[in-house]
Amino acid sequence: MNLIFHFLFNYVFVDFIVGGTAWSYLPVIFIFSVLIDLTHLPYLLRVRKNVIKRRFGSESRTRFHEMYGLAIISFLLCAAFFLFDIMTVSIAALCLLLHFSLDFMSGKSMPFYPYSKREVSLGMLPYGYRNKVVFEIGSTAIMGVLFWLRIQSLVL
Amino acid sequence: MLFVIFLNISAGVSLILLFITILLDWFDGLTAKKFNRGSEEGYFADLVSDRLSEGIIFSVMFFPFFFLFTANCFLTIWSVVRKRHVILPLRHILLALYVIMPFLVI
Repeated sequence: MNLIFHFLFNYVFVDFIVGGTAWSYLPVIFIFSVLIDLTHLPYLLRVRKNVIKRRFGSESRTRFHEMYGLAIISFLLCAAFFLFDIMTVSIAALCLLLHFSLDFMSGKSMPFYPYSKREVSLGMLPYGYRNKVVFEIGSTAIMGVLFWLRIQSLVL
Repeated sequence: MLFVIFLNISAGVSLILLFITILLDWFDGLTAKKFNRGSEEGYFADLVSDRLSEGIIFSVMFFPFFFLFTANCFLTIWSVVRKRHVILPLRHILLALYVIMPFLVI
């Protein structure tokens, strides 16, 4: 899924969990919602000339976008537990895990790269490039509306 | 995800959801074995789904479960590399704690 969807989904989800106080954790939610996708950068730089034609399949990810990365980042979050407020660390962990989960559900991945190159796809998204694009735009728009409604309830 | 959402609303509902998750996970493996439909791809999908589900559950009840979840992530990788399934049944332990806890408190 795209970066905007990840951020909006995580915000709405966390806001529901923390009882409407997610706004005070906005920087944490934003950073940890998009952090994992920084691992796409080496791939994007490699294919920068025809980036539009390329797909974001398993080849676009590094090991940090798979189980290896999840283990390392979880370990770092355990260390952060002793340094930061538990609520902040907990929200950061939740945002990262939601990102991993949504990406795992929505596309192809090599979950145990570099130990195994076996590709796994749960096939939960519609097939075909056009259908996927429509689905991404639609779901992002729905999350945008939900995000807007949460913000409105904050203002009112 | 539903477990986490219902955690603040109703402990009973979240307990039922956790039980259903474990039951479906067990049933999924059992069906694959019974009909000889097991594959490496399915095994990997099952392992990753289990870890992600655990991670989401334990990120909201951080200490000490998230630490054990982290250990489980490393154990999962070790299981794949060594081809020996060694995983901590953390969701089962949580379910058992949920059931036992009222008796312990009394």
